Amino acid sequence: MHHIRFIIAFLALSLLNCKPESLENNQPSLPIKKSFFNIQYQKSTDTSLDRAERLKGARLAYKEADKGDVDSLKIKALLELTKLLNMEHKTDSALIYSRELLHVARQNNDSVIIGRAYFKLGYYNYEKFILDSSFIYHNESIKIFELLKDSLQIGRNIEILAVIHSDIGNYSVSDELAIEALKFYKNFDKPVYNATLYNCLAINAKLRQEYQEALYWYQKAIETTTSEKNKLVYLNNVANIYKKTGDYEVAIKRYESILENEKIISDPKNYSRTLDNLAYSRWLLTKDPVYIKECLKALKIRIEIDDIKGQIMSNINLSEMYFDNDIAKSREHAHNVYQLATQINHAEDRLEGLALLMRSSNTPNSYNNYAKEYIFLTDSVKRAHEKLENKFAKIYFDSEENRDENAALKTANLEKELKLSQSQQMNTIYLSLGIISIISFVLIFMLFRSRYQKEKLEEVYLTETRISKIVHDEVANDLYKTMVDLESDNSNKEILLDNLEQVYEKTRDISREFNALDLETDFSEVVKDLLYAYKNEDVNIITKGVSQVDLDNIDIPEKTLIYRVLQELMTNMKKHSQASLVILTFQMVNNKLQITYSDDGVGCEINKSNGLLNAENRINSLKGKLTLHSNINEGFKATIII
Amino acid sequence: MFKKVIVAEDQDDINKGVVASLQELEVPEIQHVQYCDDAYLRIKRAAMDNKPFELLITDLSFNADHREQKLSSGEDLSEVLRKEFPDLKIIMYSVEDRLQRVRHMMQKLGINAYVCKGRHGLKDLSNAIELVNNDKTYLSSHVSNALRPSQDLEIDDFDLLLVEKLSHGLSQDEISSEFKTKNISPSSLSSIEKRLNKLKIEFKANNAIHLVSKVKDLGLI
Repeated sequence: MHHIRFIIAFLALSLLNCKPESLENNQPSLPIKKSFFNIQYQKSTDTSLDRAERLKGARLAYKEADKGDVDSLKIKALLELTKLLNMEHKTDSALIYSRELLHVARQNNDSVIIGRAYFKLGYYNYEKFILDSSFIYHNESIKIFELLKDSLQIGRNIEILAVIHSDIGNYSVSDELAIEALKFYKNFDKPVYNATLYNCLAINAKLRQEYQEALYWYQKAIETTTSEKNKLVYLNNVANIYKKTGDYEVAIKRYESILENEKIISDPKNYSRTLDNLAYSRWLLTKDPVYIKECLKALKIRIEIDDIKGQIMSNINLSEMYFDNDIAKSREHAHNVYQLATQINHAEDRLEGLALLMRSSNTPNSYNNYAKEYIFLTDSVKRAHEKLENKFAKIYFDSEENRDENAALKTANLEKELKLSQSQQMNTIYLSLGIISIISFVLIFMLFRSRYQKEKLEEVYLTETRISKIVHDEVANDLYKTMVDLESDNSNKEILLDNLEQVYEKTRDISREFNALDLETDFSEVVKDLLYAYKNEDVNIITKGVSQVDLDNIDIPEKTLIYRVLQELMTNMKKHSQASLVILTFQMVNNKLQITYSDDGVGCEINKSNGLLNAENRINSLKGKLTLHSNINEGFKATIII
Repeated sequence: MFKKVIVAEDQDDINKGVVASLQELEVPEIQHVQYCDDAYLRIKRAAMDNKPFELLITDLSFNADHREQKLSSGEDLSEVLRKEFPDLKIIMYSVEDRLQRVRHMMQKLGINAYVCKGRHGLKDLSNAIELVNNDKTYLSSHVSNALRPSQDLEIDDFDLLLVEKLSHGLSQDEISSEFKTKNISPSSLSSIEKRLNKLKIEFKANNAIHLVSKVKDLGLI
């Protein structure tokens, strides 16, 4: 929760920071002078140049990039500019530009730069002793580089965290972090970074007063680092140990050897420190006031380079050195310590300053005041430390927990993804199975339909040809005969009428044969009507069993078939048989309807007429059976089983 | 004879024939229309004017054309008219000769005559008009079977059993007594005689021997 609150606060902060910049961005972009940018940028990266010169180059390069609003160049320039600003101890500006860097990187979704910007914000906040912010930024940076799997950058962040913990006295946590960072560096050839961590471990040991341990780590740092400048710092630190343990002579020798190194001149901060340390060590050894001058010289340099921490150190030493001989001066330097420490908000140094002031105070009243403030400050420092420690513990715990949670989430996600992909696979399989079955179903359906349509078409075609043939053979022929008769004058009206009546009857028959049927209701009645229509004076139709068998429960296709076959048989009978008696028997045999037709006509050779052939096909299609039996003068018999 | 007759028929030639027949029968007022809807409106109008038509002669099927009709067939027209004008006589004059339909119209719609168009169509129509005028019904001979009880043509197992007994050389007396002992009904001599006579007519047989031979030839026994 704390963590989230910090992030929200930070986001709000960065949004506020973004505002004026985005306004700036709304201004029309001007064409960028690429060559100008390049020259200035080169200047900023040229290590042979003066730092102020480089900083100027970086500023101009950034200005140019910002004018043209080219994000890639802006990022490039900002990375350099922030670095140089920090080097020049312009930490506030460095922070502002780091925020701009973060903003631009976010706009471009550039994770690497976002991570680096967080690192810078963390680092510069650390430089400003704003430790909680620093801690948050470094954690953010770590998160991003964990995603990017960038071990080196993770290590660098942890390194700073280790130093922070060292500063607030969490030596064991600091040690742990330093060793963790070393692990991240393992696969990289980065001796400078390793050495920094050794240095951190050494400082932790020193502050725990484990001086041998401290010397061991310093030695390792000195051996490891490839940076001559850092090496001199470490050497200074080693000498400090000897100074601390009272081995002033060893310390003095060490300091002297450092000052013999030519490189020390190029690092005024370390130079002044070594100078101060050397002078103070000598004074400690000899108590000779002549070394005060040396110390003042160091302080002068430190004032020149604006090294506040250095100045505090110098003033502490000077207050000590003046104490015996010039209490007023001692008090003055003590006061300086107090003021400078207040300026940079460094509580421990403020306490130191107060202690010195108390010692050198000339009135009981001022002493009391200093003492009161000392006590108050001690309490608040203690509380602040406790608070800070708590906060760090929480943030640390949160981030650790987050990491654990993240790992758990990752595993869960992986499992989910696996399951998802499995289920997706299954889904894909089901889906494809479904699609295949649908497609095959559709194909089969279409196949059947097309076959059915084809059959239907064929049937229609056959029917049409049949009708055409009947019309041609029967109607047209008869009409032609009538026309011929009409042409020959011996025609008689009655004969003509008879002929025409025949034709009329034939057309009626054709119509009847093909007309639509209403078979839904009372089929036995329909069948009787069909049969009795052929009854006349010449032919008698006798049925047996029509009323006994249940004709109504037959399906429509079968009904149609029965009707058509009977119609065909009766038409045949009427046309050809010369029968006087027709018997139709209906009965159920083995659950099937059996209809037998027999007449007493002349019979015929079984030469299936088109109609009967058609009927037989249709009966077969419904798994029925039609058998015909006839001989000349033996009548005609047919059996339908359906 | 009818005084006022309307003819609904879409074929002009047939119309003329019908009108001619009516004129022969000395019907004074004859109107003809080509659509069922027109027929209905005229009949309704005439009734409202208190000069109702007495007879409608209508075709059964009318060819559909551009004019949309509420009543599309003589059947529809008859159905409506029968309800509204029960006194109006209706004669159907059509090529339709399916007994089922004829029976439906005679019995369910209550038309008065059904005349088939054909060789003797106009002659039949004249007969029909005269009979209907005398409150009688008429069916063309072609469709006269429509109203006949259907059992008429039906034979049953009893009939065949009779013929079978005859074929075994039994006399009617012997058959009667045998049926009595076997509890087959009817077994009285008179009913057996009646049944055999009916069978002789149906099978167009001159005597019992002829009947048996015909039934055997047809494979019934």
